[in-house]
Amino acid sequence: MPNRVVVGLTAIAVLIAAAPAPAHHAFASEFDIQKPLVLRGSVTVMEWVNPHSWIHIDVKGDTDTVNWMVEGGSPNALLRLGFTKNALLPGMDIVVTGYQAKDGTNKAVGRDLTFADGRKLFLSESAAGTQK
Amino acid sequence: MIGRSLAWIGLMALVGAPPAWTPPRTPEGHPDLQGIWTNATITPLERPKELGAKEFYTQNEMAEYRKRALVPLPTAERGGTEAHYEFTQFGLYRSQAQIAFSLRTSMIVGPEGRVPALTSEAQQRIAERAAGAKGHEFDGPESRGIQERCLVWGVEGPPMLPPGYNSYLQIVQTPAYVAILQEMIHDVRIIPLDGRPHAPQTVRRWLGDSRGRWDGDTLVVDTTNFTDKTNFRGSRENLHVVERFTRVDADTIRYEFTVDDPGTWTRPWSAELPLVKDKGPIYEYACHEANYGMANNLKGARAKEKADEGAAKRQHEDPK
Repeated sequence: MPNRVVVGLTAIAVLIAAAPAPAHHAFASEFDIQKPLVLRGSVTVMEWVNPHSWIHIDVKGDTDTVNWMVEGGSPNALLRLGFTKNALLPGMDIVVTGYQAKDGTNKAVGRDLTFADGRKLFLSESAAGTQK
Repeated sequence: MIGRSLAWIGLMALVGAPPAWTPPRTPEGHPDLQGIWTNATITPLERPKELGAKEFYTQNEMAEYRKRALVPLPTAERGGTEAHYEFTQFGLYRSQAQIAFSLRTSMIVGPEGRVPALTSEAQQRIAERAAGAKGHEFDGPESRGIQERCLVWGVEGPPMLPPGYNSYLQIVQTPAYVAILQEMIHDVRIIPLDGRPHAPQTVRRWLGDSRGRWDGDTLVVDTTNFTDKTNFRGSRENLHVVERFTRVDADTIRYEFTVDDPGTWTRPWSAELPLVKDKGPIYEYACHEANYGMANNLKGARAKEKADEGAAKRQHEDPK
């Protein structure tokens, strides 16, 4: 695994309070809470698939470029937030903070995703609001 | 206008009470339950123990509870999946969808407000099953839960409980059938209304075998013939569910259910929750389409086994 291209498998100050709750997947067995990371890359593909969207990004290192797959939210929920298929296109630069897959390959869960200029990738919580 | 109002007041005086809300009806004369509904909720299935026998909040208490329940916790206080995953960013937090509010303190009705005790037979069965699965959780796809395998979502039921996110369902009616689609995670219940008996006991289905009938303006659905692969609070193939759907106003269906399985619970129990009209649309949830999570989980388990083997070998060669 070309660690050097990852912009630091940085220890992010995220406090983990409790054992993982049951979710669609057993998160704790899919992703490694001991392997937090920050990825800066350029989108190559956005897969609009359930149960989770997957964003593919090219992460440039000193000598080579590595393609990473990043797990995002359920497309159905993203659509309801106002996200469209044109909102994240190939070539856009994003920053992902998340955790690497336990199998050690170039896959990660995207905990927080922002554009290169710091804007949240998806609508912010204040913009989402409630319908009623 | 004033004349009409006076005439109305006069009529009211004559009959004594405002007329009950009458639901829109299908051409056959039954209440029209069709549309897209949400059961997203902040009401727990079981009542918090500290509330004792208090079955309803007051309006003020509910306002306070809503306020607290809908504010996302600071990141540092979130645990489990939420710690891995920014819920609000992905539209998964409950404040980001319409909520079907109720004054109930729990979905389960009655003074206890909790699932009754398991029978000793059920306790033993559950313990044996857990012991058999222990250590084999990641052997292969079949050892993972049916939810993770995209077969049936854990709360699809019946009884149908809120799935946590994408909490939408669509009801379609014809003279002979009612069909219910739940967005999570793609299944449609097709419920015949023609009085036919349940399928033979040998026929077992993921969502059970449902039969519907009209009891006045309430749709009653009786479901049996579950499989031993589904698990509703400890009850599997012998679960018996009776659901009642009643339109109570333009925006709400009262959804009630009673569940019963003498081999699992010491008594039957009942719950109630509202289904609230939603503007839609409802989306397909093609869970199998790209369930990378399953493969990632199994690969993670294999990688861990390999690492553990390596560590054991090193320990053996160089015990320190």
